Amino acid sequence: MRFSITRGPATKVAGLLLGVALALAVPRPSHADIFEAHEFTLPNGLDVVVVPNHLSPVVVQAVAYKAGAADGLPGKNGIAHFLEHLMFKGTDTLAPGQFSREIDKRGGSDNAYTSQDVTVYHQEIAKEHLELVMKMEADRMVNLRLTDAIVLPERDVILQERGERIDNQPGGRLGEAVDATLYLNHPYRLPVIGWRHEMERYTTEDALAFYKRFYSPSNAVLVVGGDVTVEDVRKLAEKYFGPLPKGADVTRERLHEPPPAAPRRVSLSDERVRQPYLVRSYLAPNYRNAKGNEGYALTVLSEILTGGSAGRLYRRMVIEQQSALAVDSGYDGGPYDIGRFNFYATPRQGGDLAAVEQEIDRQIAAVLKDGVTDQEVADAKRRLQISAVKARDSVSGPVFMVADALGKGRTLADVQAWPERIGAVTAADVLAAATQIFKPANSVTGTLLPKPAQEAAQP
Amino acid sequence: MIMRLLILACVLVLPRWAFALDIQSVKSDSGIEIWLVENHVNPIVSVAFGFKGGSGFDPDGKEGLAKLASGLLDEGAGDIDSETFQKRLTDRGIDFSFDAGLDDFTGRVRFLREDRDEAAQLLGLALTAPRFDAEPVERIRNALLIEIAQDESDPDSVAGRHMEEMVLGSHPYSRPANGTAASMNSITADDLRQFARQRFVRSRLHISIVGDVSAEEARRFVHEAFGSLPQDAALPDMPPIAPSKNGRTRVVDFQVPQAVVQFAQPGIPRSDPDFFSAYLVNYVLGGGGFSARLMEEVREKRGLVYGIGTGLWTFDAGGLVAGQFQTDPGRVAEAIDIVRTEWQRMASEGPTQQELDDAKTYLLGYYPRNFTSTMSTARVLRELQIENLGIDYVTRRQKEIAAVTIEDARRAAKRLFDASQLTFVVVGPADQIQLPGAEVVKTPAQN
Repeated sequence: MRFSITRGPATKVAGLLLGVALALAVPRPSHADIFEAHEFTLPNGLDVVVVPNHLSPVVVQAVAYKAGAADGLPGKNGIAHFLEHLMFKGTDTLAPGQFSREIDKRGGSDNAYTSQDVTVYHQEIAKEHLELVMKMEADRMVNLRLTDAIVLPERDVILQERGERIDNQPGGRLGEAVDATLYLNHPYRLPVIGWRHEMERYTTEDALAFYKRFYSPSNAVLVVGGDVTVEDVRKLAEKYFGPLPKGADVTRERLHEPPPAAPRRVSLSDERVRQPYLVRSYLAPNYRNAKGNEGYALTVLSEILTGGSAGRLYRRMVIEQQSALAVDSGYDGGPYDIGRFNFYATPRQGGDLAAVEQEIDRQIAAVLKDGVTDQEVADAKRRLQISAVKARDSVSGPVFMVADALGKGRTLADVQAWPERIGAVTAADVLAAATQIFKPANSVTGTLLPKPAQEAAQP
Repeated sequence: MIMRLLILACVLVLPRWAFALDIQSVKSDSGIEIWLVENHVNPIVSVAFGFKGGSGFDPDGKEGLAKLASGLLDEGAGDIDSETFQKRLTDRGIDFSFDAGLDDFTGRVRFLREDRDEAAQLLGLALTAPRFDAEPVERIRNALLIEIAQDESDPDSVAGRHMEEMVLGSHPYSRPANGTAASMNSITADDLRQFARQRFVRSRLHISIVGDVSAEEARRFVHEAFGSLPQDAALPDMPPIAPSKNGRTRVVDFQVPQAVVQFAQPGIPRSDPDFFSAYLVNYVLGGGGFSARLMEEVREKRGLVYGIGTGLWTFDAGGLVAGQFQTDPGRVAEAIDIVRTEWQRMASEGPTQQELDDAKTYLLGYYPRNFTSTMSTARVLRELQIENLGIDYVTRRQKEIAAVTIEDARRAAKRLFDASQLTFVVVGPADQIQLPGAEVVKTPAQN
């Protein structure tokens, strides 16, 4: 539905998608058709990116605001997500819900998501309606109108959403506990949707305050992809977004993490759990702040450890040892402040979480002791680069990837260089990056367990 | 399973297109028809294919057979063991994926154009000579056993199983597609080999190819991958479903904070002449996301749910109309009441002219969005073949939708919707759910 929250550890798929917007795919296409994104900035500070793709007469538009849950005031970190819902509730010229109806009746779709760092609104529609969606998106950037009569029922909706996504899902509740433990001070420790007891008290004024502070052309990125030209987009963006006032300068200054002192463990038991699993998360450098190429090296490392059937952990734990039913890892270098490296493992039926955890630890120790081989690095790089070529076979994928990355403070050049930077990673880089992050104090281990049946009363 | 099917049904019946798409029909040397769209934007080729005969045809006691087979076709074939087969796929980034639907067993293959021969060879082996070695069989079986166990504690799955039993009775469609622990454990390598021999036959095969490939290259690919399959093998007939017309309500006592509610009544098949009219009125009632009446009444006005939706099931053996939402246990009765009221209002009044017009422009305008990747295009072409809609469907479809009148829509609404036939399943804490007259079941249905 509309409000998918990008919460919790990023998956490997998300990592691969970073290769979507590329100018230098390897292997290169056999003909002269290299993907290119074009960028320009309007005088009011709106950053605009165009990603032409002529697969079908369709356009995808995304507006990313450089504001997410981590930018909320204390006690109100779910306001970014609540506002996302309220952005569909009307302006001076659009009735509540009309935004989506105008798109629906033309065969389009629209949606939005909120994460810790960014809030993205997007539409997909036949190309002749680009002007309409751009006009409406520009309108609600500055003209949102909210009253309690509209806002309060929507507060019930986000509470229902929390019920579906978190409260009804043991895994969702474990994820919240892991986040709250991994970050000691940074607001990434708080759930994107908010804590229930705080959500119940959100007000219209809270939402409008966040809107006024963060929603303006100079704090947003407009990305348009599909069957368009740069000139089409420039003309329409100047017409509809151009006249909007620039807005106040926004700085993002979140609380900083102290040096972590000790590894942490959390465990959640629920009688609905039939299959236990383990998650291990390490704090890591992100793409934006990394001193060198750690982010790319960690992407290659994750591919070496769990990239398909060839991954070290998969071979060892799933095929040879048969201790695990599934094992995966992923590096997420996208967050504005701090990256993250995650492991997940599901033991085989009746299997032992401790054995699975020990094997992950052994494999990490082996990487730290002996590094990875040149052949492993070469294979992983080739697989990642092929995935980058395949990611171009989509109209919406590249748009979402660019909007999300730029909304999190990365540059287009940085995004486009992804395949090239992956290509430059060496075995020594992988070892250095692994050595930097795989320290026990950097980590949280979470386990999801079945709740043992209640013991019968003793006579 | 109900909701998974519902989503699939929505995908299948979404509008396909009204713009010119250059579909070529070409035949391989082995006489197999291919629907081909050349698209040279990226060096990528997508192949979508399907065989009539899905998990609905699993033998009694072997439920889950098609599903297990779908997980094993890329785990070794011919003289290539699982490890080597997987390595050859991942080394070149060749994507294989197989899916056991109720009516059809389908597959998708995507690769860079330079890897066409490698992909064809591996696919041909996977279909004609799958190994079903002990190690991968046990590994995939164990994964499915865990899924089966998880489903028992998942309120959506629990609701779906009760709904299948209440509405479909003993029809083969009501059996669990993943099987039960007992049926999954009873499947042998011989069962799997027999499955492959009987199901993967040219007489029930449909293929589409889209991407950076010429007609000649497509013909060679299909000849290599599918050319040595047997021509035919027997497949029993699927009896038509006879869904219950006596609407009942069942509460399944289950300790979750939020109640899951599913509802269904008899529907119409894809081949029904009223199909588009019915699709449009369902869109107005509950299929149209934020534009639908149910979303407006239940979510927007009252904040009772995060989402609510309805859809048409259109399977080979018949159709249903079904929907789902979640809400606080204490508000289930209120939400069900609104669903019933809106359901009956649609039956007696039909949509307004404006609602119908908006639904039609939605369906008509949606068309190009089916074709935003080579694989999405290939899948649409495969479904057109499986549904036997013809290569001229492109233009016919738009005309048929445009021709639906308000009288057609009212007639279809009256014919389709009947609140007295609605069956509701509520999975949640029974002591907090006030539904007078509902049957209360203490434990989840066991398979």
